Amino acid sequence: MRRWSPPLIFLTACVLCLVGCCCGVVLGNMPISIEHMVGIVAEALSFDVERTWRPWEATVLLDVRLPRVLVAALVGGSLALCGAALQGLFKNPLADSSVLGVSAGASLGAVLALYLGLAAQTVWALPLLAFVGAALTAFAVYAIASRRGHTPVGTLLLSGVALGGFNAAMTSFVLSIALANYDIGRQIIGWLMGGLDGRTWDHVKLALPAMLLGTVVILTHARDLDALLLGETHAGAVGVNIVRVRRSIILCTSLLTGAAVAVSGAIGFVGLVVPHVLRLVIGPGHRWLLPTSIVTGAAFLVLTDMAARTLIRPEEIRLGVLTSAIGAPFFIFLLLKSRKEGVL
Amino acid sequence: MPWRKVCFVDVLTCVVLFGSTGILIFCLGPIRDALVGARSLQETQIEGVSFPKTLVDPAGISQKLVRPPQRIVSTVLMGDEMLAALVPSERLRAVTFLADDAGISNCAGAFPASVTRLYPDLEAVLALEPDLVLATGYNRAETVSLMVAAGIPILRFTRYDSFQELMDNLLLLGAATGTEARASEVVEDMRARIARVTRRVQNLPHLRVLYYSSGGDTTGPGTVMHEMMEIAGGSNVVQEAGLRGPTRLPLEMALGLQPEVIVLSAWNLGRASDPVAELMADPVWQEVPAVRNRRVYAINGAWLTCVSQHAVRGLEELAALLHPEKTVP
Amino acid sequence: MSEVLLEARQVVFGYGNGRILDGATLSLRRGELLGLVGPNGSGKSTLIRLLLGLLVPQSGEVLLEGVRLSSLPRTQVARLITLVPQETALDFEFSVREIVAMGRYPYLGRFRPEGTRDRQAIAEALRGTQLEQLAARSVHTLSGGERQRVLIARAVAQQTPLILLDEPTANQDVAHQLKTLELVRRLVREGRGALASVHDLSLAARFCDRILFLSQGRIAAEGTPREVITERNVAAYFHVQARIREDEELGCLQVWPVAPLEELPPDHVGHSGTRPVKK
Repeated sequence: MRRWSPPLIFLTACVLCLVGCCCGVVLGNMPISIEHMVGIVAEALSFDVERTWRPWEATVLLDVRLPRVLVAALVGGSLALCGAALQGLFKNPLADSSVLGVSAGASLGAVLALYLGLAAQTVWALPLLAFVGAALTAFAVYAIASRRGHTPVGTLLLSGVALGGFNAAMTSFVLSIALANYDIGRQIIGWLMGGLDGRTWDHVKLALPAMLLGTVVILTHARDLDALLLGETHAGAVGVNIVRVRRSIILCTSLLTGAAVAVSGAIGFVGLVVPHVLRLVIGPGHRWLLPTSIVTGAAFLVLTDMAARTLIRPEEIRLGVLTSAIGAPFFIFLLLKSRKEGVL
Repeated sequence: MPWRKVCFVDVLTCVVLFGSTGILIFCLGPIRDALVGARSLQETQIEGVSFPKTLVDPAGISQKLVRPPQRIVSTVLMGDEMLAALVPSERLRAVTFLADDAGISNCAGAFPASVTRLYPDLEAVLALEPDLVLATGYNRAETVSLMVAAGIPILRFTRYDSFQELMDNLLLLGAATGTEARASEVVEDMRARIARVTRRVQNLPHLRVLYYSSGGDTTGPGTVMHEMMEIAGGSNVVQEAGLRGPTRLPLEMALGLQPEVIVLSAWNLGRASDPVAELMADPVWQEVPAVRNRRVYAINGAWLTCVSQHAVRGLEELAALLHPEKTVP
Repeated sequence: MSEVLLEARQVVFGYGNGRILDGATLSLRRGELLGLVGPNGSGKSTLIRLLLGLLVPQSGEVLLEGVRLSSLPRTQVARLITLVPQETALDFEFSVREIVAMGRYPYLGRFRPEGTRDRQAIAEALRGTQLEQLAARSVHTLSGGERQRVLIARAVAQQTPLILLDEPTANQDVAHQLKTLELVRRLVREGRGALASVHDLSLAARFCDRILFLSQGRIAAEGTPREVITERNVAAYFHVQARIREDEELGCLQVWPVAPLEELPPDHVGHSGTRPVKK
């Protein structure tokens, strides 16, 4: 079995992520000299440094670029982790956050915040409503698919698809009536295409606690996911409490997805492609797959965001558009390659 | 029996789903009007007669304007147009990239090359080290909080749906930039021209006017365009349909309202397109009084859709077209 | 006679309004291999899932060491009883050892890393099922019979006194069928109790200590192969006319199915109420 060493790949991903973060902070529309950057960072770390730079450079570096890069890393990591966990839970390499309709629910909440004018009033309105949308959808999906504590996987997926469709339809509806007002329509469309422009420390503070909680809980379920990959009967035979594990994972992935969509808009393909590729490289064992997915997803999104910002200066490519443009062909390539080899 | 309980949960789920759909479809508009309406009670305010002044944002944040701003950055076209009239260009650092586009801007050519043309980019705005930034209510709250945290006063225009509000915006900008005298002049000019138009079309019968774009977009009461039509001696047919604000009118209704005059926006897009000829040739519109009497007009879109003092030009043009017998150039 | 470890009492289960099991009762001890036989659709898999606790009976109870199964935490159940399932989706490229190692889950829980005892258990399981050579190979590359052995090895690594097997000989060639049942026999000899659903009556007669006939949702007959595998029972519960002979060399019964019998309505079952089909 050709497998690459998981710790090595994990380390590589970490390095890549760090490099990406540094590049993301260093590169941008307005050039800032390296010595100024070093000085700004030193001062932020409470070293005594003489100020040779203009205040706006510090603002741009610490309050514009740094939170943006951090949000990219957090969102990328969360989405990739969700994808890996859901692919394990549903034994389906094509599963990711959108499968349960939760990202669509978050989108609907956010779009409502934009349309009702709440987003212009306070920074917290949009993320909060997105969160509420995600949570309500997760509960609804679970409630619809469960009977007497029994939640068959097929029904879960179907109810996720159904509610995802419902949410998407309502989002389109809100967009259609919002388009009469050019400004709002433009904002909504921009948001739906996903983007990290204007991310601030407020967003980091908003997303971090939820993401930490969700991540920790999912990471502890690595062995359960391994057992579940062989089927529910097998997992039950080995002592996994299937009902509880499924509930935990769905709740946590909804938490992570809600938080991610709340701060970044609709970004797809990260949760689909990253764990899938990693599984081919390091094998399906979740002990390494989950943490490596987090770091690789973070690196992927940080680098993609950098490309989105710099490719067609001074304009920006919407991030969701770019991840789809990269992810979809790559995924098709994977499918074609594995189709020839006869492996799933 | 487990049967009963299952049924109840099913019914509840259906009720919740259909109910939320219904709420979204039927109540979203009124909810929005209520929320946005409630918010419009708050607007940007400047406190103080001379510098230092306090700038109060609609979100309630107060910022200090210590001295008349010397490095003003505008991120919205309406800001560009107002600045062109009020503030000398030495005090301007940047305007939007739309300012030079004669097709949409009323201040093309007003700014020298020393004033930067900006694409919407936070870093670029910050790099210019402005001491006043102009924005609108639709700018994201996080941008505002970033500006505030960086100590950059940001002036948001949140109301621009009537001539009075346009004039208020000019006075607001005048107060913020220390150009109150100039602002008053511009406002007085606007008032005088509006009064002139009002006098000229006084006692004339109001013509039923429809403002229409090819997508069906139109304007009801609560917009500058609507007020333009009313002042110019017309009656906006859209209000008969019970619609408000920038809205859409289905083709059927537009035809059914049988307007006597139709006004279209003409855009200098470089294409040789004649919106008036297109409409007149369209068989669907043939039975409408405006088309039969050949009273379909196109007015420069930049005048009709702008939200600055230049809207008065649109008003004058409209009055001249509605009642040509009464207008003296 | 060792104490009864697993017991099902009057278990009733069905989906919706139907009933698959209607008062099934059985008991399983250490040191014996129980064979569960019955025609397709009689509920063998359902019964096995109920015995493991994957399904909850609508009435009746399943007791493990005298305690209700539903009141025990899953990991504790998994230390006492496990299941070798019939089909396992092996779409993911785990190695043989990784799958066998999953049997240690009830002892490791979520957090503990593998210890010496666990490694020993895994090594013994691989040895006992002759999978040592294949330990590093991907499960994908194995044949059906080898995959079944991997699943049994996993059950062995779990070190449970009771093992349930759901159709362990289905879809296997003759050689592997014999090997599997010999392996199970050996595990029983080592002190475990096992229950296997078997569709081949001859194999059941040869390897099992006791046979249970499952019909109409109940255990219709129970006893040693000689007591229970009779032409009359086979006709009644399998609707097949069979010839049953003793094989002196092997020392067990052999069953030859001869011809299918026409089925009579259910209330006739229990009497030899079947007629031979006219040829």
